[in-house]
Amino acid sequence: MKNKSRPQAQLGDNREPAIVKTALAIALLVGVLMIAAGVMGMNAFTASGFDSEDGFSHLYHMKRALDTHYDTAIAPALDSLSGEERAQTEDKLDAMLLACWAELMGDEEAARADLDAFVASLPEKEQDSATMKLFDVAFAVDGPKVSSKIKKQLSAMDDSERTAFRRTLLLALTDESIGLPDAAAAATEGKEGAERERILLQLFLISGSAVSESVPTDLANSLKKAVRKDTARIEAYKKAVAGSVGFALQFIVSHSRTICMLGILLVIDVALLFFLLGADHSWHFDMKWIIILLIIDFMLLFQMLPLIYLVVKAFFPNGSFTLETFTRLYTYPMNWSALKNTLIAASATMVLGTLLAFPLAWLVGRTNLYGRKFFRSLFVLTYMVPPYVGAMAWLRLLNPNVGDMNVFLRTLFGMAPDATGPINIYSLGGLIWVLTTFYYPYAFITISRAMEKMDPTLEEASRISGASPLKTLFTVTLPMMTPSLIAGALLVFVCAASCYGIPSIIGAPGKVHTVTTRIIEYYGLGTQGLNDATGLAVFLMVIAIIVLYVSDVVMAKKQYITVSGKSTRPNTVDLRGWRVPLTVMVSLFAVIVILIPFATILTTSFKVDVGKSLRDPGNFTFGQWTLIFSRQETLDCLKNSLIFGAVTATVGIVIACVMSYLLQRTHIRGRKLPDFMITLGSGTPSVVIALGLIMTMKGDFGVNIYNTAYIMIVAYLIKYLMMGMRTVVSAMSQIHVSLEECSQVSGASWLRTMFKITGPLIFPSIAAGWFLIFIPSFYELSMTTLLYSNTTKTIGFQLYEYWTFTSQPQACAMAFGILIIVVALNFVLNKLTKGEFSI
Amino acid sequence: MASVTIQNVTKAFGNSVVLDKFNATFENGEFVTLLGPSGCGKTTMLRIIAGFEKPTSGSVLFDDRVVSSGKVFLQPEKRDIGMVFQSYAVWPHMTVFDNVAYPLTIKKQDKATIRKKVERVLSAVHLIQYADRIPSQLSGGQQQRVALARALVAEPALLLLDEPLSNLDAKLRESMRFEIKEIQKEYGITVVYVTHDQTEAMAMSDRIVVINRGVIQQIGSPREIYTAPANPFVADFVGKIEFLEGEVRDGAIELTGCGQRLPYKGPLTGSVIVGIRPEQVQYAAAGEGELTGMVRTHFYLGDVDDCRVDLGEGKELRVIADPYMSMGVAAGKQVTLKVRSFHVFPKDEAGDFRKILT
Amino acid sequence: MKKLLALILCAALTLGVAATSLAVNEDVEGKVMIYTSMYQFVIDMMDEALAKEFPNLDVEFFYGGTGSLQTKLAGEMETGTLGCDMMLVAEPAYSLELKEGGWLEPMEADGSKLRFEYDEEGYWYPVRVCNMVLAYNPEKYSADELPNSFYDFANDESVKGMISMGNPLTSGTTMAAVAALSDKYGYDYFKALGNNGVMIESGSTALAKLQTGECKLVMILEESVLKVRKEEGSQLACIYPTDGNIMIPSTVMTVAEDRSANMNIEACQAITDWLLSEDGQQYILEGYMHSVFAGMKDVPYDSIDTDGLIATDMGVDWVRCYTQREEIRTQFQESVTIPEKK
Repeated sequence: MKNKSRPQAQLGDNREPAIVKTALAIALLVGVLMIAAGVMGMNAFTASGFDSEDGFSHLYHMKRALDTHYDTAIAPALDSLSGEERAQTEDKLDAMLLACWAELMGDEEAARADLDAFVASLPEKEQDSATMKLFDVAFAVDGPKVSSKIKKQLSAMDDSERTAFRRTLLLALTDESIGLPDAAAAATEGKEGAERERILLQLFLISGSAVSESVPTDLANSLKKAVRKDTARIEAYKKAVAGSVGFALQFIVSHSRTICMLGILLVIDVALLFFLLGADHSWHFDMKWIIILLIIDFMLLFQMLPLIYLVVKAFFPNGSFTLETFTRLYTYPMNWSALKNTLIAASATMVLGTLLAFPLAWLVGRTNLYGRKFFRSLFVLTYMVPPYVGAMAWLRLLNPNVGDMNVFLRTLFGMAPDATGPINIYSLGGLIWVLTTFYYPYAFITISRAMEKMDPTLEEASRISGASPLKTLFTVTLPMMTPSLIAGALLVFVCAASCYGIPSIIGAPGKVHTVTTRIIEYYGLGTQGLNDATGLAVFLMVIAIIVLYVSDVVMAKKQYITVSGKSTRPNTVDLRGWRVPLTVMVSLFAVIVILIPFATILTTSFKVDVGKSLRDPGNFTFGQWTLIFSRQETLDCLKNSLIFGAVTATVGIVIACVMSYLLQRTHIRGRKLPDFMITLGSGTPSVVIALGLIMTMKGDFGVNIYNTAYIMIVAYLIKYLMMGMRTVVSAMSQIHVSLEECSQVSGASWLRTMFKITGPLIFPSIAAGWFLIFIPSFYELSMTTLLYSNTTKTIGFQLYEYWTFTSQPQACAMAFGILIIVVALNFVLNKLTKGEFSI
Repeated sequence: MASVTIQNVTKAFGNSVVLDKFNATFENGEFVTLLGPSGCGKTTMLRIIAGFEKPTSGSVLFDDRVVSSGKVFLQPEKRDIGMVFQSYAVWPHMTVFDNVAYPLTIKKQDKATIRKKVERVLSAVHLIQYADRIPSQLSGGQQQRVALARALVAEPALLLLDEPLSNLDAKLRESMRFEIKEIQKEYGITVVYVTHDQTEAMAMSDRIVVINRGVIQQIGSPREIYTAPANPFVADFVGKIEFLEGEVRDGAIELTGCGQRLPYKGPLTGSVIVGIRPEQVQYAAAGEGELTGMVRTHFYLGDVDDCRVDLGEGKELRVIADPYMSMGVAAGKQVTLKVRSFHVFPKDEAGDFRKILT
Repeated sequence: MKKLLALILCAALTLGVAATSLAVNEDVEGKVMIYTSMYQFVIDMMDEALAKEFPNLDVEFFYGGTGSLQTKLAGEMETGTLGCDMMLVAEPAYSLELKEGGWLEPMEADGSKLRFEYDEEGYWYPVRVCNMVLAYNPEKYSADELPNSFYDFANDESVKGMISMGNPLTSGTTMAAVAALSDKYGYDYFKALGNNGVMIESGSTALAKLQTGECKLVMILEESVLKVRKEEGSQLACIYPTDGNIMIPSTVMTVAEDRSANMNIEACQAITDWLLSEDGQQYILEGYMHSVFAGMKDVPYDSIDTDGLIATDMGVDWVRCYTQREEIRTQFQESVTIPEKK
C-alpha cells in the first residue's frame, strides 16, 4: 500500500522558534548590560569616597534645590544691594569661602587653585552664583547650628520685615557697626570675627521667604551621613553646584547592587530557558517555564544566597582561606562537648521518636483502637505548640528538688521527702526526653501519611495466605514502610539537632550545651563572634545536607508504596483481645507525654506565686490572662503573627505547587534540585538561617529587607516550606497524568489546567500544606528574636520576652493562648477539607 | 475533517527503538485502527499524533500542515483533536455535563450553544438523563461514554481512541463498538483507534495497520488483512492459524514429517511455511480430502466442533467445523480433511515466527 | 558652713537648669528613637511623661534585652549609621567601648548632681542604678541559716546545687558583678561558684525557682525582687551582702550626630536634661531602680537608703571590665559553665 507523498507546505506559524530565539538573545543582552551598569555604578561609588551609594541621588536632588533657592531667595536679596555695597559683600563672601575651603583642604594655596579651577569650569552665566551656592550647600550640610527658637522667630517674620532683615545681614558682613535685629543679635551673642560672619551668613541662608524654604534639612542631613570624609565633601559640594550628577548616573549608582543582581538573575534565567527549550527542541514559548524560572530565581536569591554566603564566610572569614576558625572552634573543650551532646541527643531522639511514632501511627491509623480519631489529632498536638513551651512545662515537672512529678515519684517509692528527685531534667537524658516529646510528631505525620497511601490489597494477600495481623505487620507492612520510616527518622534527627528553644531552657542550668546554644552565645560577641557563630553553624548545615541526601536517596530508590490512583480505604486490623489493653497503654502515653505538660502550663498561668499550689488562698487569678490579652502590644503581635504566617503559607503553597509540578510532570535534568533546596532549608537550624539573612539582606547584594516584615517571611519560608511541599508532592503523585493531558487536548493552556483540574483535585492537600506551613511560622521564636524590628514583633517574640524578663505565669498564659488559637485553626481546616485532611 | 500523514517517524526512549521508520496516511473521514500486541508502539504512535510525545525523527502532518517534526511542534491544545484515554480520564470533581462541556467552555462559546451541543452529543451516547451526575456515580461503561462524548462535542477534526473498551465487559464492548461506529458515520470524523483486540479492529475499521515491535507489518482493509496476510505474524495475529513446514515439489507441497501432499500452483519454490486456518478445513468422505489423520482431541462448543487432528509424525492440524458438517467426529476416529484455502510463505523470510508474540 | 554654701549653690543650679529647660520645651520638635533595655512598663510611663513635656517631639522607644540590643547595634554598626538617636542600655563598660569607637556625641549635664562616675567629656552619664544583691524565700528557708555574703554564696556547702545567677555572656549587669567579684576575690571565686553547682539562667526563671523552693539563694538585681514584692505581693526578700552589694549604673548616651537616625541633637540634649532632672529620676524610682541624683532622698519601693548602699558598694573597675572582658568571660566559662570532668 504505497502512501501518496504530499507537498510539504511550511505554513506561517513556524516563525515562532525564530521569535523566541531573538527574544532570548535580547534578554541575554539586557542582562549583560545590567551587570555592566551595576559594576560601573559600584566602581563610581568606590572612586567617589562616599560612605553610601545614596550620596549620588542626594547630590542630584541638591542641584535643583540650590538653583531654586538661589533664584527665589538669594538673587533678589543681592540685587537689593547698591552696586558699591554688592561689590564689597561679594569680595567678603569670596574671602570667607576661601577660608572655609582652606579649612576643608588644609592648605590655602591648593584651596585657591581648586576654587578658581572649579569656577572656571562652570558655564559663563553660572559662574557668579557659584560662591553663594557653594556656601548654601556647605552650610546646609555642615554649617553653624541655629537653635530652633531662633528659627521659629525667623519664620514668624512677614515678607517686608524679612527682606529688610536679610538686607541688614548682608551689610553687617562688611560693616560691624550696623545694629543687628534682635534675632540675629541673639544668635551672634558673644561671637566675633569669622565665626560671627559665618553665623550671619547661615542666618541669611536659612531665612529665605516662607514660601521658598531653604535647602530641605532632611536632604542635607542624609547627604551629611552619605559623605563623611572632608575630601569627599569638597567633591560633593562641587558636584552639587555644577550639577554633574545626571539622573541616569545617580540612579545606576544608588541601585548599582540591585541592578547587578537582577542582571545576573536574568542571565541565569536566559541560560536555563535556552537549556530547557533546547532540550525540548520545541522553541515554543510556554508560560510554565517563565513561572518556574521566576520561582527558581526567588529561591536562588532568598534561599541559596544566604546559606552559601554563610559557608563561604566560614571558610574565608576575612578574605583569605583559613581553617583557623574551625581548628580554634572545634578544639575548644566546651564546643567539643556541645558537638558531642548535639549528636547524642539528636540520634537518641531519632531512635526514641521513631520507636514511639511507628506503633502509634499503626495503632491509630490501621487498627480499631478505641477513640483513635481523637488520639490522632492529640498526638499531633505537640507539633502545634512551640517547643519552648514544652520545655517550660517539663522544667516545672521534673526539676530534681521540687518537680511535681519527682515529688509524686518520691512519695510513690517512699523516698525521703527532701531527697533530690529520681529524675533530673537538667541532664542529657532530660534534654533527650523533652526533644522526643516534641519532635516525634514529625515522624508520626510522615509515617501515618505513608500508611494511608498503602494499597490494602498487599496486606490482604498476606492475610489470605494465612498470616496473622501481627505477622503481616512484620512481613508486609513494615518492609513496605521502611522508606518512609527512615525518612521520618532522619527528619526527626535534623529537627532535633537544629532546635534552639529546648536546649536553651533545659540544657543551660545543667551545663548541657548544644551547638545551637553555643551559636547564640558566640552571636552576642560582636563581629568576631559572628564569624565563630557561622563556623559552628556550618557544622550543623553539613550534617543536615548529608542526612537529607541519604533520606532522599532512600526514599527515591525503594519506593514500594504503589500509588494506586484512587485513594483506597485502608483496611482496619481487628485487635480483638488486645483492643482494651492497647487502648489503656496509648491513653497512658497520651496522659504522660501530652496532657500533663499542658495541664501544668494551664495551672501555672492562673497562679500568682509559682511556688504555691492553686488551692492556696489568693494564689488563683485570671490576672495574667486579662493582662496579656488586654495589652495593645500583645494584640499587635498577634496581628503580626497572623499576617506573617498567612503570607508565608500562601507564598509557600504557590512555590510548593509549581515546584512539585516541575518535579513530577517534567523530565528535565536537575528537576530534583529545587526540592532538595527546600528540604535543605528546613534542615538548616533557624539560627543559621537568621544569621545568613542578616548578613546578606542588608543591601550588600542589592536587596535590603533588613528590619522589615519581608526578612521574617523569607526566613519562615526557608525553614517551614518543606512540610507543605511534602504534602503537595504526595497529593500530586496520586493524580493520574491523563486527567491533565485530557484538559490540554481539549484546548486548555497549562495555567488553565492547573487552576481548573489539578488545583481543585488536590485542594484538600493544598489546604493541609498551607496549614503545615502556617502553624510553625505563626509561633516561630528563635529566628524572630534575631530578626525582629519595632514594627515586626510576633507572638513568639512576645513569649520569649515574657519568659526571660517578666514572669512565668504570664508566659504560660501566652503559651496556652497560642495553643488554643492553633487548635481552633486546625478545627477550621478540618471542616474546610471536609475532614479529609487535617493534622 | 483532517487527513493524517506520518512520514518516516522513528521514536526511541534512550536506546530502545519503539517506532521504526513509520510511514502511513489516514484519509479524511477514515476509521483506521493501529493493531498489535502490547508494547508494539501503537499507543506511542497515537501520543505522537496527539502531541504528547515528540518523534525522535520524521514528521507528522494534518492535511498538509506540519504539526510535529524536528524543528516544528504544535502544542496539543492547538491541534483540534478529541481523545479518549484508556483510563477514561473523566474529571471526578465535575458533573457529567461540565465534563462534556469543558472543551466548549475553553473555546469560550456562549451558554446556549454549549447546552445545545452537549445535549446533542449526550443523547448520541444515551447519557442525557445522567447529565447532572458526578462520574463516581456512573458505571465503567457510562464513564467511558462520557469520555467519548467529551471527545466529540467540539467536533474535532480528528478523534483518537486509546483502547477505550478494554475495561468493559464483553456484552457492553459489543454494543459500544456499534455505537462508536454509528457516531463516526454521523459526524464523518477521521478516527485513529488503538487496540490489541483483533475482533474489535476487524469490526470497526476501514483500514487496519498491523504493528509489531514498532515496525508496520501490513496496512489494509480487514478483508485483505485476514485473507492475504503479508507475513506469518499478521496471519497468526489476526484470526486463528496453524503453521506447518513443507517442500514445494512438482505442483504440490510435501509436508515434512507426515509426508502428506497439498496441491499448490503458486510461484514459490523450495522450503515454505504453510498456514491453514481451522475454519478453512472441512471433513470429507474418505478419498475426497487432501489430508488424512486421526482425531486426537475433540471439544464440542455448541456452535462449533473444535478438534485437533494428528497428520502423523506429531504434526497436528486444528479443525473448527460446524457440528452438522463434522459428521459425528470423535477422538480416535480416522478422518479425511478437505482444505478449502491456505497461505504459503517463503521459509527464510518468516523468521522464527513461533516467538513473534512478544 | 562650707557644706551649707555648697547646698544652696547646688539648689540654685538645679532650679536654674530646670527653668531654662522648661521654657524651651515647645520648641523641641522632630523625631528621636531611643534603644533601651528598661522594663516595658517603665518605658510606657516615660513615653507618656515625655509626650506631655515635649508636645511636638515624636519620641519612640525600642525595647529589647541587653544582649539582643547589643547584637542589633553590632549589626547596624557595620552599615555606618545606627537605627537610634539615644541609648539607655547596659553599663559604663559598653559606653567606654562605644566612645572609643567614635559612636557617641558629647552632651552637657551638671556632673556635680550625680553621685556616680561619669564621663568628663560628657559622652555618657549614669541615669539609673541597678543593684546586684542576693535574694531568698523567707517562707521556704529562714534568713539566718542562709549565707549573707557573695563570698559564702560561692563557698558555703549548705547551698550547693541550690543557687542560681545570670549569664555574663548575655547579661551586662551579671558581667559587671562578676568582674567586681573577680577583682575582690580573684578568679578562684569562679572555681568556688562552679564547685558549688551554681545554675546559669535568666532572672525570671531564678525568681520562679525561689518561689518553688528549688533554689535557696540567687544572685539577682534588687529591682527584680522589689517588682515582684510590689506587684505580686510576693514574700521574696533581698539580702544586702555583708561583703558589699554591687551598684551597677546604667548610662544614657547620644549617638554622634552624623551616625544617628534622625540627627536631632537638640532634642537629645533636651531629653538628657529631663532624664537627669527631678521628675525624670522619679520614673527611675518607679522602675524600682535607684536614682543617680546626689540629693535624691526617696528610694525605690521597699528598698534601703541609696547613699547607704553606695557606701557599702563593692565598686566596679569599668576600665578593667571593658578591656579584660574576654579574659573574665573565658575564666568564668572555664570554671562555671563547662561541665566538670566526671
